Amino acid sequence: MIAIALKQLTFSYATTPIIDIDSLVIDNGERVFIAGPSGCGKSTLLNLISGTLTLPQKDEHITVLDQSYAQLTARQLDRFRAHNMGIVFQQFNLIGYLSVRENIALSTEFHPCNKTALLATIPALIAQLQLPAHIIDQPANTLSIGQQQRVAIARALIHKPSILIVDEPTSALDETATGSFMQTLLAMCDKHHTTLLFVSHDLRLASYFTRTIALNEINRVTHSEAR
Amino acid sequence: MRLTLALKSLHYRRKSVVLTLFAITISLFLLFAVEHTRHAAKASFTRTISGTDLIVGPRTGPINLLLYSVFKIGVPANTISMTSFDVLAANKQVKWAVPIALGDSHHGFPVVGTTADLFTYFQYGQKQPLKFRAGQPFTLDTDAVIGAEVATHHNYAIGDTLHLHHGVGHVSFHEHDAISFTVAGILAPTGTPIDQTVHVTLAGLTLAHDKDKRIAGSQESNNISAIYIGLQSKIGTLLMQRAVNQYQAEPLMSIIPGVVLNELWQLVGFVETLLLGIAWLIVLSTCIGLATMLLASMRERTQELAVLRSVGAPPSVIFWLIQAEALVITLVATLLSLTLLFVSLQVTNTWVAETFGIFIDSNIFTIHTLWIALGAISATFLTACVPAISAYKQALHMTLN
Repeated sequence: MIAIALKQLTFSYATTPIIDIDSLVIDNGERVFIAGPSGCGKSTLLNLISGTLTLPQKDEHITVLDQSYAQLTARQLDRFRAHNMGIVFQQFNLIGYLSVRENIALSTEFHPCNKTALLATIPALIAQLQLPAHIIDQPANTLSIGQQQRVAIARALIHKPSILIVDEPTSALDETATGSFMQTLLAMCDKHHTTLLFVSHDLRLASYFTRTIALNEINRVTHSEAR
Repeated sequence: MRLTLALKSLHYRRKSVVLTLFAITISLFLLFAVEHTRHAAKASFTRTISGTDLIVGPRTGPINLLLYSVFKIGVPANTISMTSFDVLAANKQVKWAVPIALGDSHHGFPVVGTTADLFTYFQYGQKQPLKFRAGQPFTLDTDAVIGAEVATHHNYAIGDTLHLHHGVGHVSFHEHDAISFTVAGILAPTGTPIDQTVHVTLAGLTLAHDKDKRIAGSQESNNISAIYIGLQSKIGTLLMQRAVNQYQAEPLMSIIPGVVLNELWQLVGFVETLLLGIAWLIVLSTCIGLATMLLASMRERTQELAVLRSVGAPPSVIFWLIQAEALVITLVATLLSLTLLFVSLQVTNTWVAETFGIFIDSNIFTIHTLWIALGAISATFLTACVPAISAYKQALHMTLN
C-alpha cells in the first residue's frame, strides 16, 4: 500500500515557485529521510503533505493513504490530519501552560476516537519514551528541550497515526541527546508500523533511515530560485 | 477540553487578565448602577403620591411646591392661612382636604403638622392607603405618628416621647422642649418619604411654637405650608385649579401632582440619558481594552496556534478559543459587578433615601439588567472579533515549522 504519492506537484508563493516535483511515492511503513539545505522547500513540502497548505489548483497532485486531497474541503483536511498524522516540529511543540498529559491529550481532541482508551495509554507511552513518570502532571514549560521533544513524539503517536511527519526535531538538541532521541523515535515507529517522514539538513542522521531523498535533486525549482 | 484550554490560557496570562477583568467590572458596575438607579428612582419617584388631585400652596414654582410638600426637600418660603384652608375644604367640589405644616424636624427627620385625615385619605403607589404597623392615629393634641424608618432608626415604640427641633437638618439650634409628644402610632413601611416623617397634630405644633415665643422668626403658629386635596370628580380638576389660582383673599397656587412629577422627571431625564450614554462608552472602551490585550497576546501564541493546527484543530476552533477567553472575562466581570452593585445598594439605600427621598429598590435582577448584560456580552463579542479573526486568519495560512 502506498502511504504518500505526489504527482506533478507544483507550488508557488505569489509568483515565486517553491516546489516542482514530477513524482514521489512513499510506501507504507517506510522510513524516509528528506534531506536538503535550508530554503530548498522542505517545510513547504511538509505543509502540503500535512494539508495545512492547500493547492490553488484542484487536481490529483497529492494522494495520501489512497485519499486524494483534491476531494477534501479545508475542514475535511483538518479532520484527515487529526486522524492519520502525527507532527513534530523543530521546537516549541508543546503548549507551555498545559501539563504533559494535557499536551498529549490534545491529539485526541479533534480525533473521532475513544478518548478514554487512548488517554489511558499515556503513562505507558511516557515510559517507552524513557521519560520519568513524575513529569506527567508537570507543566510542559518546566521540562528540558530534550524532554519536550520526546513528549512531542508521544503527542504525535498517541492516536496511532499512519504517518509521522518530523521536521528538524533535533536542531535544538546536543549530540548525545540527538542520538538517544533518534533511537527512541525509530523504535516507536517500528513498534507502531508508522510511516516516518523525517526532514533535516543534517546528513549525519541519514544512517538511521531506509531511504534518503535529496529534495534539491527531485525538486526542479533550483535552489537559487527558491526562497 | 476546549473551554478548559481557554481557562488555562487565561490563568497563564493572569496578570493582564485580572487587570482587564477589573477594568470591565468597574465599567459594568457603573453601567448597571446608572441603569438600575434610573429605573428604581423613577419608580420610587412616581409612587410617592397617588389619589391626591391637587396640592395647594403659597405662590412659588410648581416643582418647588411639589418638592417640599411631597418629598420634604427644601423649605417653603411662604405660608398660607388656616382661613384659606377652611374656605377650600368647604368647597362643594372638594371631597377631602388635609393641611400640611412644615418647618420643624426631629433629629433630621422632617416633622409635619397635619390632621388625622391624612391617614384616611393619603395614598401612595397604586392607590395604596397608609397602614399602621402599631398604634393608631392622633387622639390627643400631643400625639405623634411616625414613619417606619423613624421608628427603626430611633428604636421608638408606642408610648415613647419625643421633642421637636426648630428648623430642618440634623443640627438644630433650638429644641422645642416645653412640649413633648407621645408616639401614638407607627406606620407600616411605604418606600416613600412618609417613612421618614414625624406626623404631629396642627394643634400640638401650634402649642410647641406658642410655648416658645423666645425664637425670633418662629413660624406663624396657625399657618400651614400646603394642602392635599381630593376632589369629588376628576373632571373638575382643571376648574378647581383655576379657582385656586384666582383666589382673592391670599395668593395661592395649585398643582396636579402627576403632571409636575412628570415635568420634574423630564428635567432629570436629560442628565439620566447623558449618564447612560457615558456609561456605555466606558464599557465599550474597556471592551476594546480587552480586545487589545488579546491581540497583544497573539504574537506570543503563534506557536500555540501551530500546535493546535497540527493536531487537526480547524481555524474556526481557534476563532472560538479567543472568543471564549474574551467572553469568560466579560461573564465573570458581569457577575462581579452585579454582586458589587447589590452590596453597595444594600449599604447605601438608607442613606440615599434619607438624603434624596428616593427609595432605590435593591432587587437588581430585572429585565433591564438582563438586557445590559446581553449588550455587554455582544459588545465583547464584536470587539473580540478583531483578535479572533486575526487568529483565525493566522491559523488559516499557518505553516508548520
